[in-house]
Amino acid sequence: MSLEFAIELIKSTLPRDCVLTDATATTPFETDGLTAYRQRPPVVALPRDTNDVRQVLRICHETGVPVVTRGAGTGLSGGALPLENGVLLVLTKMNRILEVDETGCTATVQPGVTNLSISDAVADKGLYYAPDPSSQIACSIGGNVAENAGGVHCLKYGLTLHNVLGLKVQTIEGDELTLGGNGYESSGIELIPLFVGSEGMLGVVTEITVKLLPSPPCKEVLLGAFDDVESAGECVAAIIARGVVPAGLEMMDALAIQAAEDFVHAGYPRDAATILLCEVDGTKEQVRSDVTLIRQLMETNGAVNIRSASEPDERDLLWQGRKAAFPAVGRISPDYYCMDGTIPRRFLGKILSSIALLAAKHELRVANVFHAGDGNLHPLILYDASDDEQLHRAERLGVEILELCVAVGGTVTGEHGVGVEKLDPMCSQFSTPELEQFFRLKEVFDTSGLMNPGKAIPTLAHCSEIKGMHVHGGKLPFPELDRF
Amino acid sequence: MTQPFDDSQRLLDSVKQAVAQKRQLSILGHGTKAHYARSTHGDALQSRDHVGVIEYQPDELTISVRAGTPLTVIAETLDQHNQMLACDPPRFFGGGTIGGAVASGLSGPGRPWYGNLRDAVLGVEMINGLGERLTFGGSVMKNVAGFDISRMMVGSLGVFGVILSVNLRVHPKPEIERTISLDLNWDDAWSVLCETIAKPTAVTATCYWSGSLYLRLAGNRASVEEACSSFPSNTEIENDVWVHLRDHEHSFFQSSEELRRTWLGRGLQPQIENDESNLIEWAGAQVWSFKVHGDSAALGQRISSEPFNRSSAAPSTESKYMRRLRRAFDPHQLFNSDLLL
Ligand SMILES: Cc1cc2nc3c(=O)[nH]c(=O)nc-3n(C[C@H](O)[C@H](O)[C@H](O)COP(=O)(O)OP(=O)(O)OC[C@H]3O[C@@H](n4cnc5c(N)ncnc54)[C@H](O)[C@@H]3O)c2cc1C
Repeated sequence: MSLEFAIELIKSTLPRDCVLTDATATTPFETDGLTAYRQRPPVVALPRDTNDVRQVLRICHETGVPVVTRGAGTGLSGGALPLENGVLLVLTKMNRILEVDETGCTATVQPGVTNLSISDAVADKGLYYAPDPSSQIACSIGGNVAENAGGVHCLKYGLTLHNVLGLKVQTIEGDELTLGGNGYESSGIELIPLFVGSEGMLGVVTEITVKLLPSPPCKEVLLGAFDDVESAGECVAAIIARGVVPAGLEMMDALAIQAAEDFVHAGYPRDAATILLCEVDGTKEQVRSDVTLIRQLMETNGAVNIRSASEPDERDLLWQGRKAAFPAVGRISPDYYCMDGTIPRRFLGKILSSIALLAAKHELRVANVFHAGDGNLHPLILYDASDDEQLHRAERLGVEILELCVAVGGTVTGEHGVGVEKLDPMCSQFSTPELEQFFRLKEVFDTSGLMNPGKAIPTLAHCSEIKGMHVHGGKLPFPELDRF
Repeated sequence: MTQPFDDSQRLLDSVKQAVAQKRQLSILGHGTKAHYARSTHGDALQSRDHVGVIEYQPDELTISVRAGTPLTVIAETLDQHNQMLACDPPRFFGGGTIGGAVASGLSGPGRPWYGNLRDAVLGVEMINGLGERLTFGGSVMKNVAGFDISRMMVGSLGVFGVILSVNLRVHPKPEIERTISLDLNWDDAWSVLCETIAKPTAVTATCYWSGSLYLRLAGNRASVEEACSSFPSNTEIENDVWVHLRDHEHSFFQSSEELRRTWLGRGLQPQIENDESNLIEWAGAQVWSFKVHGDSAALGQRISSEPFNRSSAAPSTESKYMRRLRRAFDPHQLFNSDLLL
């Protein structure tokens, strides 16, 4: 009843073309990048501006109807999965760049602007927006804020959090919060970190001021091929330990290399067990000395083949293989399941060997593509969704990989978020009082519990259900690995 | 050097006792920032004995330290591996603990280029107002599991709870650092400052005061030398000017008048008289002045201008949510209850 009433109110408030209820029109919104989960939304609202957002939130608040915010729907954890009984608020119409300040190097944008279009809009001024998720042509900056998205250049330039200066947020109670601004600090307690990565659970982000960086005058990409995974892992540690912070440091394993090579022909060595892609940037002098050092470190750590690219076309080609790795893997398997654990870098080699063992145990293939410099793994589990039993095995393997990450001091998600997907492993990462603290915090901004309910933080009931399933006689998984 | 010591059980017991006895607590490290923020409500809860580096992994660029660990000890530890805490929080009177630095959230002169402490925090362990020991974040570079409570602790002046330990990202030290001074009028200095944001340069700190622009240049030898030579007629000065500025020991700060801090948006030129009464850091985004001389109201379009004293800070516009937020962590209002009201 209240849902129908809310839909009527939204229809009478927003223009006709901004409200969708027809199954044909709403079906495209039934899933995000995590396609294993689907739910057709009863209504999709497409606000044109902040005022429309406020109206929809007010209606939801008054009728007690939950609301799920959606940007471009590229999220990989089901954060934007619609609710059967809720409104889906889609921000793609709010896609204007409101202001670019060339002197202060900032841009103020609406949430529906795509990540890449910010850099495109300021490129002629010699500036760019640094965080570059592989999905950057499609994903929205609002979604990036909600997930604290990362990218291949985040090792040096930080995550979304480090590049956001100000936010405007609408709460379900009808308040607009202005957080930060266009400076470095603001008086009072800084709430930006709370909203960055909050997965639409606290409010709707309607305006974002980002920091723009000057494009580096010089860049070079090195590709190092290795015969085994461990040496490449050690090379990563060696590079960081020597005081170089590359702009990007990425690793791919044999299966990923072959898939990417077949797809984009980047010239990757097809017979390598692993490749490292390392980009350095800065002044000519800085780049020259960093490249010399990294080359040397690759050699001493057993690289069998090193290639370098300094021309834009060559560099782009090398990156293209990496950035297209997910779709490339999508070509060699009917389905794949992307994990997102992060570990302390020194466990890279060990974890990769363990993943291989686990994959063999579950009789599944895993391709590894990851942000090695950050220790952020993206094992892609290959499976066939039409086979229920395989899907089940893939999910089981995924959980075991994440448990492994937590066991070595890591986390279940580095950049893709918890969404609906990682509620189970959240139970192994957080204690009951910690989860309760999260819920008390959600309540501060969302008293009635209407903002994206059921996502990101598992309820205690949920955890006690699955804890019974997973902890076998109080034994932790993988006792052979060091813990701290 | 202070001996490592785990005082967390006593801190936890004290909080639990305060809950049971309905008493309030004022959390204290070294007390070096008492002039900036100091709670006077309730029993003092000293975190200064909870000291020590829990784990330092130079290869990972991470360090985990107990809250009472002196900033100097952290700096010495990192120095052994040629690393540093990039945001360089002030060590007023040469002291200060990392817990106090996190709670006050102050940054050194390199703020625009090296980020602040919030940017460096990866995780915290804390005691909330229910006497629960909680861990948020972790020690890895990327972590989006759960709300980012650890970074929210930065600058919160202890109102959410007692910080027990902090995991931080550290940075390799640049190969070399040099400081140059240029005699410039304010408008010319401003053009140079704008370049430090809009162009890739070797600059990692700036200060304009009394007709001189100081620039810190860092990186490898070749790029720093090139940067130096791009500024004609510069004078090389000692690098320790940045330490003096950071710790407010520079002669500018020697006054008994009330010190004020003004923040401006990036790219907005502070409107100042060309005299000694304002000291401008962060490429123009932070201006220091004294109440009588520097009329900070005239500084132009600004974010905030207030005394360098948070004990008397005005209520923030988001005070409704702020009150609820405090209650969410500290329902009995145990911690620093007179701060940030
Ligand atoms: C091929 C591919 C590659 C990818 N590569 C990367 C990568 O390299 N790095 C990375 O970090 N991610 C990557 N992702 C994941 C995804 O692109 C990011 O999480 C992105 O930030 C999501 O943006 P979106 O606009 O699609 O958000 P959506 O999927 O629409 O929403 C994501 C979450 O944000 C919330 N939300 C969206 N907008 C708002 C708003 N304005 N206010 C409040 N809440 C909001 C939603 O409720 C949901 O919880 C990849 C995805 C794909 C499909």
